Parts: sequence; C-alpha cells; structure tokens
Amino acid sequence: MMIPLLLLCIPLASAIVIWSFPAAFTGIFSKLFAGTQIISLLVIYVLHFYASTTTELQYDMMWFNAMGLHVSLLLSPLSMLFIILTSLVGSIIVLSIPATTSKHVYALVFFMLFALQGVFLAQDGLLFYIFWELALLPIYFIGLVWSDATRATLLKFFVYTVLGSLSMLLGLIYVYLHTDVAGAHAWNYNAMIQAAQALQPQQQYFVFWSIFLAFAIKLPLFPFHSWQPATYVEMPYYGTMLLSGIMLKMGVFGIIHWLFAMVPAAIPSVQQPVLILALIGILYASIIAIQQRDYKRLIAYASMAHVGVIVCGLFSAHVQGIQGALFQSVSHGLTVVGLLLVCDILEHRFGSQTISNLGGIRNTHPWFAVLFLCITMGAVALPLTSSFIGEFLIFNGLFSYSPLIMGLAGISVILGAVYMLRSYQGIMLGQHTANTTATIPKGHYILLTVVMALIILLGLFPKPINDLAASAATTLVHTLKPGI
Amino acid sequence: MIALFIIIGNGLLALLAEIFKFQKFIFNITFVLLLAALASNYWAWQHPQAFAPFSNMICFNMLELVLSSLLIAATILWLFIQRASHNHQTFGTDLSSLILFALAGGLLLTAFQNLTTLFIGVELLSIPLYVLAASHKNSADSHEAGFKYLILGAFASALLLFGIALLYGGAASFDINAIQAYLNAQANLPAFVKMGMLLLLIAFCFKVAIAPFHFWSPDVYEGAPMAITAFMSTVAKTASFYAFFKITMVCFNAPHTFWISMLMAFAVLSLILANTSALGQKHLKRLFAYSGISHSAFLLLIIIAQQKQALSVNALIMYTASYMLSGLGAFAILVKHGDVISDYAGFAKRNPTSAFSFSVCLLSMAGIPITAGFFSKYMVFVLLLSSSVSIWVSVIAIVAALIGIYYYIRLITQLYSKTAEEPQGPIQTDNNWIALLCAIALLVIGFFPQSLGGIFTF
Amino acid sequence: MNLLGYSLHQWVFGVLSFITIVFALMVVFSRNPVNSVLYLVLTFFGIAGHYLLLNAQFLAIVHIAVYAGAIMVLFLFVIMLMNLNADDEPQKTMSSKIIAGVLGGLLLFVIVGVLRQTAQILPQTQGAADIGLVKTLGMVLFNEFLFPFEIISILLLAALVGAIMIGKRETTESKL
Repeated sequence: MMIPLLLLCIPLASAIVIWSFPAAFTGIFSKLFAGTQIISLLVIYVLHFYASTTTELQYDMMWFNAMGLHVSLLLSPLSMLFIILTSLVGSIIVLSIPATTSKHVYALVFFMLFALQGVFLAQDGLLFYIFWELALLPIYFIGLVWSDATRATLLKFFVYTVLGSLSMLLGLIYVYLHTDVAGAHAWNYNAMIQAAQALQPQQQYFVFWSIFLAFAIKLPLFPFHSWQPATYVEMPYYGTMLLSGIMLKMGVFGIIHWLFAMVPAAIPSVQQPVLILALIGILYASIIAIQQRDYKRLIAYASMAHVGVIVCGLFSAHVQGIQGALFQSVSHGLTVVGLLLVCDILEHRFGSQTISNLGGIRNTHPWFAVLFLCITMGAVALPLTSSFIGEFLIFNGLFSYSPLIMGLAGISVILGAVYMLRSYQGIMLGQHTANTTATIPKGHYILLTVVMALIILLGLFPKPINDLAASAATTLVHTLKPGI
Repeated sequence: MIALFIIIGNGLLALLAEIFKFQKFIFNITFVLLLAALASNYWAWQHPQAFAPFSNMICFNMLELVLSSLLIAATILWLFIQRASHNHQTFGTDLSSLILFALAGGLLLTAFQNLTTLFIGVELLSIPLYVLAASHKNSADSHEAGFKYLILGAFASALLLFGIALLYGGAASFDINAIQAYLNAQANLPAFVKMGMLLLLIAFCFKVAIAPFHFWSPDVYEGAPMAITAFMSTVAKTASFYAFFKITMVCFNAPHTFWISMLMAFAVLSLILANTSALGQKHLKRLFAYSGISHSAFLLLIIIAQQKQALSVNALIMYTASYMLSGLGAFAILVKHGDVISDYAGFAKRNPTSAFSFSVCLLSMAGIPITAGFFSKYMVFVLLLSSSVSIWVSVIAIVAALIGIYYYIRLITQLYSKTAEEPQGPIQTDNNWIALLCAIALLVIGFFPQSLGGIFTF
Repeated sequence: MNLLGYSLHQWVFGVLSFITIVFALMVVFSRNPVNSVLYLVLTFFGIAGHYLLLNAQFLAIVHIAVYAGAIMVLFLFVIMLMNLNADDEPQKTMSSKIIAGVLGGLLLFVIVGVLRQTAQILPQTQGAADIGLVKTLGMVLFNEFLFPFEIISILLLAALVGAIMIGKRETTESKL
C-alpha cells in the first residue's frame, strides 16, 4: 500500500532535509541519503516479490475531485525496472558531485530523482504529466545557476522540451475527454487506455503523434535533437549524467507505458517512419561522433546513437526487441554515467577533455585505464558486458521485423566501436603524456569500479533486470498483438 | 452586500481622514475594514439570502461572493504593494478612497443583476483609474497614460451604453434575467438587438484589453505609476472580466450564439498578437501588458467554450485567482526594483528570496506545474477541448502558451544569469514578503487545486 | 395635419434632427474652440427638443439647465482662461485621418443599416401621457432604481475626488 509512496517520499524528504540544514551537513547527508536510496531500493526490490496482491504495490488518493485527478501510483515490473535505474544511477550521480558544490544542487538533484520516480510510478495521466514537467525544472535551474551553460542553450533546451510536453498535454487531454467512468471523465490509467483504444484510427494517429513528439524530443530522436549536444556539453557533469543517464529514459518509459498501451492499433502504421527516423539518427550521430575532438561532445552523440538503437528495439514491436530496449535502457544508463565520470576526471584532473591534448595516461594510471577500458567495452556492447545482452535482444527483435533495418542498425555497432576505441586510444595510449602528476580522488575510483562491476555483473548475470524486462515486454506485446 | 457597504463606507471615511487628522491610520483602517469585508462575505456564504436588499439590481449569490472575495483579497495584497512603492505617491487619503471606490465598482461588476448597475459599475471602476493613471504629477508619460485611458475608456463606455440601449429596444428591460428570457423566446433576433449584443461585447473587449481593442493597454500600463499599473492589470481587469463572463454566461447564452465566432476570432488574434509582441519588449510593464492580453485571451476561451457551468465557473475562479496572485507578486518586485529588464541581470545573486518569488510567479504565469497557473491553464484546455470549438483553436492556444513560456523563462534566465561583476556588498534581504506570500500561495494552490478549482459542483 | 405625406410630428423630428446633426458637425469642424462650444450648446438644445418629442419634459428641462446652462458655461470659462486657439491644435497625419474616417464610416454604415429595421419591431410601449412628468420619474427612480441612484452619488464623488486630485498642486512630494 505504502511502497510506491515511500519511493516518492525518500528522495523528496532527502531534498527537503538537505535544503533546510546548513551547508556543513550537506556532505554527510548526501552520502547518507544516497545510501538510503540504495537500501530502500534493495528492500523494495525484495519486498515486491512477496507482495501477494497488486494492491500492496498501489497507492491511490483523491487529489482534485472536480477534474477527476488522483494521486495514483503503481509499482509494476516496468516501473520497477526504471526505479532500479533511477535509484542506482541517481545515487552514483549524487556521490559524484564535487564536495564544494552548493547544497542547493544536492537538494535539486534529489528533487529531480523524486520527480523521475514519480514519472515512472504515476498511474494517472495528468500526474504523469506533472512529474514529467517537474523533472525539467531542477535540471534547468542547475544549468542556470551552477554551470557555464549559455543562456541560449538553456532556453533552447527548456522551450524545446516544453514544446513536446504541451503537445503531449494536448494529446492526453484529448484522450481524457474520451474516457467515461460512471458518466465522468477520468485520468485513470486503465480508463485512459480503454478510451484511447476505442478511438477511430484517424484520432489514434493524432494522439500518437501529439504524445510521441514529447518523447521524441526527450530521447532525442533525429529531427528533434538539436537541443541535445550543446546542452550535454555545457551542463556540469552531474547534470549531463542526469540528462542522459535517467531523464531520457523517461521517453522510453513513456513510449512503452503510455503510448503503446494507449494506441496499439496505430503502431503498425507508424512503425516504419519512426524506425527510419531512428536509423537516420543512429547513422548521423555515429558519423558525427567519429569526427569529434571533444570527448564530452563525443559522448553526447554516442548517447544519441545508442538511444536510436533503443528506439529501434521498441518499435520493432516484437517481444524480444522491447525486452532488449528495456534492458538496454538500464545498461545505457550505467555506461553513459561511467563514461561521463571518466570525462569528468579527464577534464578536472588531466586538464582537458579534448582528445588530442591527452594521451599516455595508461602509463601513469593503470587502474584507471582498466576501468575506462571496461566501460568503453560496455559502450561498444562487447560480449560479457550488459550492453551486449541488450543490443543482442534488440537486433533479434528487429530482425523479425525487417532484416534490412536490422542490418542498417547493426552498422551502428561497428561505427560505435570505431569512435569509442579510437577515443580510448587517443586518450589513454601513446607516448605523449598529458599530466603525469594528476591524482584521481578515491571516491571516483570507487564509483568507477562500482559502475564497471555493475556493467559486467549484468552482462554475466542479467536475470534480475531481464526478468522484469521480459515480464513487462510480454504484457505489452499482449496488448499490442490484436493490432499487429 | 455588506462587503460593498463596508468598502464604500471605508472610501468615505478615507475622505474624512484629512479633515479629522487621522491620515496616519488610514492604511490600518483600510486593511482592517477590507478584512471585515472578507469576513462579511464569509458570513453571507454561511447565511445565504439573509441580507439581500435591492436584489433586482445587485445580488450576491455563492459565485458572486467567491469572486468578490477574490477581488477584495487581491486589493488587500495590493495595499501593501502600494505602501512599498517608491513613487511620488504617499498613501494619500484621496488615493485610498479612489481605490476603494474602484473596488466597489468591481463588486458591482461581479454582482450586477441589471444593466444599469453594470454600467455604473464600469464607470465606478474606470473613473478612479483614469485619475490614478495620471496621478504621477511630474511625468508626462503618466499624463499621457491617463488621457489615453480616459479617451479610450470613454469610447468603450459609449459603445457599452449604445449596446445597452439597443438591447433595451428589443427586450424593453435592463434586467439581465428579463433580457435572457427575451433572447430565449425569440427564434430570430432583430438585427439591432444583435448589434446591441455585439457592441456590448466589444465594449468589454476594450475593458479587458482583447485584441484588436488592446492598443491602449501597453501605453497606459507603461505610463501609469507602478502600483496603479499593478491594480489595473490585476483587480480592475479581473473585475471587468467577471462582468464579461456574467453577461455572456447568464444573459447571452444559448440559443443565440452568433457572437461566439466573433469572440473566437478576437481570442485567436489576441493570443497571436500579444505573445509575439511580448517577445521584443525591454520593459517589464509593457511585457506584462502583453502577457496580460494573452491571459485575457485565455480567459476569453473559457467563455468561448460555453461548456458545463460548474467547470467554467471553477476555471474562472482558478484562472483569475492565479492570474491576480502572480501579477501582484511580480509587481511587488517591480515596485522595488524598476521595470527595465536588463537591470535584472544577476538579480538572484543580490536578492535570492525575491528572485525565488519572482520565478514562481513567472512559472505560474507560464503555466508550469505545480503552480496554480498550471491548473488554470489546464482547466481552460479541458474546457476548450471538450467543447465544440475547433481543435485548431486549442492548437493555437498551445503555441501561444509555448511562446509565453519562452519569454517568461527568458526572464527567469535573466534573473539567474551570471553578471560580469560580482555583486557589491552583502546579499540584500529586502524582505519582500508580499511577493513571497504570493509565490507560496501559488504553490499551495498548486498542491491543493481542489481548494479553488473545485468550489462549485452544481 | 399632413404635409407631403408626413405628419407634423415627423416633420418636427426631421427638422430637429437635421439641425442637431448640422450643429454637431459644426462642433467638430469649427476651428475656434469657443465656436465649438457654442455649437455644442445648440446641439444640446436640439437634443432637448427630441426629449420633448418623446414626451419627456422633465428630462428636456434638466438637459438644458445642466448641460447647456452649467457645464457649457464652465467649458467656455476654461477655454477662455486657457486661451486656446487653432494653432495649439495637434496635427494628425493624413493617413490616420483617412483610417479613422474609413473605420468610423464603416461603423456608421453598419449601425444605420441595422437601425433601419427598428421601426417595425420596436415594442409598442407608448406609455401614458404622464410618462415624462417629474412625479412618474421620481417614482421609478426612488423605487426600482434606488440602488443605482445611490451608487451614482458615489460615482460622482469619485469623479469629484479625482478632479481635485488632478488639479491639486503637488505638495506632499517626498513625505514617504
């Protein structure tokens, strides 16, 4: 009963406590709350197996009677998957924030985790939208106050994202007005799904595109990506981690939980255009990534390419493709955070994130080189890493839709190997030595080790995540099947 | 009804203050009496119809009580803004009496039952504001603002009067229920009655600054003293809108809805014009004038949707409350820190609390969750999409909202931008608690939308 | 008594309207403000004549006494004291004149077009002969319209206070 509420309250309470106590306590509290986040995650993960009925994983409270709005939360397998991602990656991000940072940043990051978990738990259309928008505000203010991001970049990021959100709101309200629960409209998830599925094909397309715009911008999908590179590069590291590690997964979650469930009948006919957009995005981003000299910018484009693959998996509308996309969402979250941690170390300890300025770090920092290599391998989806399982499943699903598209998407793996390995080579190998005296703080070593361990652990033992992904994908494909 | 008497009495009392030498207390007296007016509204809410004289002319039912309470509450907040303002106005007795008379006009506008009351209400609201707009004696801009407001306001009044006369020609009554009965009984309205209705509506479009009758508002807002602009853009506009709402919802509703298409065209025009004009503004007063036009257009959409009474009324309450709160909060900042946008660079470094309040007010105007502004915009969209109005109007409204978000967020970005030079001296604590209060109220309403957005369920 | 098919009543109305409109135009077109005011007085007389035609004697008298008598005299005083003449008149650009003319003409056109129908449809509430008497007016004013009547006093008071506020010399400049 209280489990989903608990998941929301922990980060919110953390944010409030950190914000209200003096800055001296921030360091301790942030570590404490990151730990709490992990422990509560473990407890809830275990608990959710023992939940005899789904009611124990639900929470429902009337909020705005006049508009049929509830605070309605549900911890489904799908939500569980994304909650794991949020808590895990979120804690790593919190721990990676430099100690000198203002306490407000910590509070905002925790607040963002609250909003993100809300997005993944919301079982009420408008509540989902509210959390979706709330997740935007902290990252915007982090960029605004505590980073070197230019105003133009932030404005573009905000307005672009809100454009998507408003379009989604339009679509959601449209569906809401077709719901009918005992003579009144309702925002309830099931009611909305029923109403949307009963729409005419024409209306379904309208709903699909208006809502999909929001997700496409968030991911970002090819023609809507122009906000992304500059924002990723100019944000501080923890900001970029939040954006790429967790926030873009909101789009993945939204597509599966809301879009596929609401308008399954529209999927077969939009499959192809979306897949083509995703393919263009993959190839475009990979090719640009190869040419990058700046490592952070490279990660931004690499992230876009990886997300393209995830979208391909989703829109294969095949059980393995979706399962793979879900698995890959978690895996991508881990690898991208790992890469950004490395990038953070490069910039702040070795003085540069431009590849040509670096080199030979392996000679002085062997353990760092090993960690970086493992994470890079994770990013290129080598077997034994988690990404391999995700991408394998995705390509499997994609193959059943169209071998050609699978083949084209498969190029991304090769291109990915090119830019990832080339950049690794440029940064770590060679005789040219960057800054031999640089010291890497112990905390970063620990975080990198944890990330590496998780990447390999999931590669060897994918069952916990994979089971969740499989169960979510199977339920979803059941709803999709009548349409396909 | 008692509230109206209290307010008028308070205005008369303020005039006596200078004679009997209690100017010093007039602020406190006004504050207490306005609270008493609120309390009397609460009493009237508990005891409906207990005291309702002249009910053929003016009648405070449940809805009117809520709306008038909102106006009174906004005026109370406004009093503190006025006291904090650094312009050439002292909290003069004449000023307070004029504002109170204007507020009384606003109450007439919310509760009129008869078009004579409506007309007197419009004048009672406007005439003090003509004067107050020009009350900045040493500023030519202020004089121009007052004069422009007077001429265009008089023009609108003339249209209103002409409209009422034509309507009377058909219905042979000024009573809104009688007019409604007449309109309902006619299968085909004579052209002059239609003309009368349109003139009446156009007059209100003037008063609430709907394009293409909005040209006065940026100039008047800019020229008038800051606190007066705050009053005009919040209380006065909202009161006029209540009358607009009432005349359309009670009097002009089905079966004759030919006027909706006109209002729809106006609303769409306002949304586009106001938001695009706001983009290039360098002064906050002008910016808020244009954003106010855009908000008027959103309010107009409630009328256009012509749907479910309870929902429209709730949306009206929610929207006007959040609009007035965010406007007053923003003007509480403006009154202290001027209206040149470029002066606000790095504002957050100097005044963290004020910057927070200002940001919340702007976010509410932009309609970002979880502020009250979000729910008000959301209710408008629900109304609009559930009506028979073309979906393209909603799409235009969405685009307009997006442009709005752009300039509000740009302003917030300005507040938090990093200036080249470090802030001089220690962080100011200017205790702008009115702005903070408005911001917190916006957040609280956002957390408990049922409190304002679910009052009526009939 | 009929003349050319129109009743005497209609003749009087026509002539009166013609005179009123001509004088009203003269108010606008005359260069000298003093002349304008004098024409305005004549216009008011014309309107008072219309009131008489409508059987509203009291209103006609009050109209002459208040508007033509009091207010216009005040206007004259103000204009003579301020010594306005044609040179002070702000010049409008030609384009704004044309636009104003076109828009005003359109409005006139629409209103005239609409009002042409009124003759047939106007409700036949030709009241008793004493409708314009002070007594009848008073009964209506102090019964049905008591509330607006009272509120108008506040309106006048507000206007009065406003006028004083505008006219007052600024002495309380920096008392804040």
